Amino acid sequence: MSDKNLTTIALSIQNLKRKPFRSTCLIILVSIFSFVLFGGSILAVNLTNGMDNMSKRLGADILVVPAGYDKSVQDILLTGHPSSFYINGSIQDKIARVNGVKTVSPQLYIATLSATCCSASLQLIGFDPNSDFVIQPWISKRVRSNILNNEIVVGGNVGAKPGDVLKFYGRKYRVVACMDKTGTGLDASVFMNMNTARKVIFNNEKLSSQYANFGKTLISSLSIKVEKSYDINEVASNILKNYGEKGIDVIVSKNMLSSISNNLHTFLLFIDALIIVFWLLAIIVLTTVFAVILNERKREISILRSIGATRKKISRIILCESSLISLIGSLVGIFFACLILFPFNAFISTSLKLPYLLPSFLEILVFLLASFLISFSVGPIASIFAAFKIGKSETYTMMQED
Amino acid sequence: MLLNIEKLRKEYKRGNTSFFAVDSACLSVEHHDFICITGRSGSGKSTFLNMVAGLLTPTSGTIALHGNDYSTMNDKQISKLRNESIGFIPQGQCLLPNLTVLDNVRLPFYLSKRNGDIHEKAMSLLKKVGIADLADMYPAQLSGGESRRVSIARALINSPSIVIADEPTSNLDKETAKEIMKLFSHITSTGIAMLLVTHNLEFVEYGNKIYSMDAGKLIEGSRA
Repeated sequence: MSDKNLTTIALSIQNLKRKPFRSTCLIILVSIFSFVLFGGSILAVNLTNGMDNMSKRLGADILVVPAGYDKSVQDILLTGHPSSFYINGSIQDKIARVNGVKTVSPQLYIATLSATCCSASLQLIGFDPNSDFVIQPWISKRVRSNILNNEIVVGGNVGAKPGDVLKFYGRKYRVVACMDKTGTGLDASVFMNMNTARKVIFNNEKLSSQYANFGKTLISSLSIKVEKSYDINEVASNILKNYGEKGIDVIVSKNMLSSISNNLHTFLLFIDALIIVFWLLAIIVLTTVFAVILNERKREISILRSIGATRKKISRIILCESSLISLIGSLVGIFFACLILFPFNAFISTSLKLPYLLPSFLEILVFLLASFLISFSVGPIASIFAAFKIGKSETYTMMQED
Repeated sequence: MLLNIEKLRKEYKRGNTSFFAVDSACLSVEHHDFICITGRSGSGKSTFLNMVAGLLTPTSGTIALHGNDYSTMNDKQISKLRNESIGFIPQGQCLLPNLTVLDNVRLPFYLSKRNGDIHEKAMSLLKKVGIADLADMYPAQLSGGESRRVSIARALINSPSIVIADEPTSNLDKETAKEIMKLFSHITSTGIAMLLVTHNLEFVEYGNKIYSMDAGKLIEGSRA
């Protein structure tokens, strides 16, 4: 036997329980909206963060790569998919003399087959500490002035920590630092000085014979900084015009970024549209349902009025019902979004093939609260019309003759 | 005087024409009064009762319960008055389907800010109307007569001064209807006034004042 107080919340819960199918459907609708809102927002922030980080990390205005390997470079940067490709390093001096070129720094890419630390293969990147303007400044600031031979710095996703020893092509390398996550393919890369990188190739019989024709100074790419007074596209075009027949291709970073950024922009627009569509859908459906429920519940409302309930009290019951639907729906939606977004973070990142970086815990919390508040507001907004109608019309208060 | 109604009118519009559902009705009710109002369907009985209960705003005229004129009160005050002083028994199925019998009876107690426990009183009222064993049932599980008894218990939960019943015996068999009318008689004997609308002329004998309603006019009559 019940002896609980029959409060507004208790009455609302009873009303929702009475129509379990309808209540569940409405809760599912709100939860889909809050799922899309929170999931979509976090996805959008991850991608934007990734993109920002990528443009910061890329550093170079122009990349010179072997002809036909521009896609491979993009894959390394976006997804960390390892590649090996080479050109003769003698081209570095020639390109350095092109008008407008301020700094040229070589990189050497080696795709590993396996490593003691990882089940998947990794991208080894050799860089020249004397000319590098992307990795070296970070190392100088965070580790020490330089990394020595056989020392490595690992990306945020490699899963090794300073002091660990990793083995590539039969030789051991000591981890001296672990970089912060960037959301780019560089997170799955291992950085070493050019001398160490070349030794990886030349100390391995198979690799050295495979790439022997590129000479002892083989490189994979050149990162170029352009003088401020020069047009980047023009410099890139001059490089291509003068040395294109040497088997090279140029990638203008801002063009590559803008192409990725355009894809990202379209994707983000799609997420925004999806959020708006679900928001409207949730409000329209809930408003309609509450308006229909109101007619269906005319009798119930008039009974409540006849025993002394004020119009305000009845409006409060309706608002409470819609708020409960919103509350449960919002929590369920956000819970499922968390359940998919965070444990499957790496999978989503790989599937999207776009720079992807989770925001800080505080940022996630802010998005969680904002998403919760927005999706929670759906119910009360949708029932305002019904509550207003009750407050104004005598139709809902008078006991009609049957 | 418990209830005083003066020149009560309710005008409705149907298309371009308007008509008075209740037209210049006057009525005074004292404690212990058992007033029966008869009349054909559509004669304005329910409109009249809804106005007396404060559920419907009259076009003109005054209603005063315990000297409180409804026209000077807002929705909150009228609702409080209805909750505290009027026990309303609407026509037909008038229980909240999602609440148990006991909760239906207890509900009016919680609609105004009150302290204390109403469980004992609700059980004793259910006992008084003869359905204490159905306290945990839901309205869908009850017969018509049982539902009506629950609504009577509910009407009495806040110890009202007057009970207003709209066709309380409709759809009930003769025996059950008689039992319900006896219950009402018992209620008036405790000092609570009864204002009852019925189709069934057979039951007007329970009333000490009899009225008929015809085209919105309330006409005082006498027992046949």
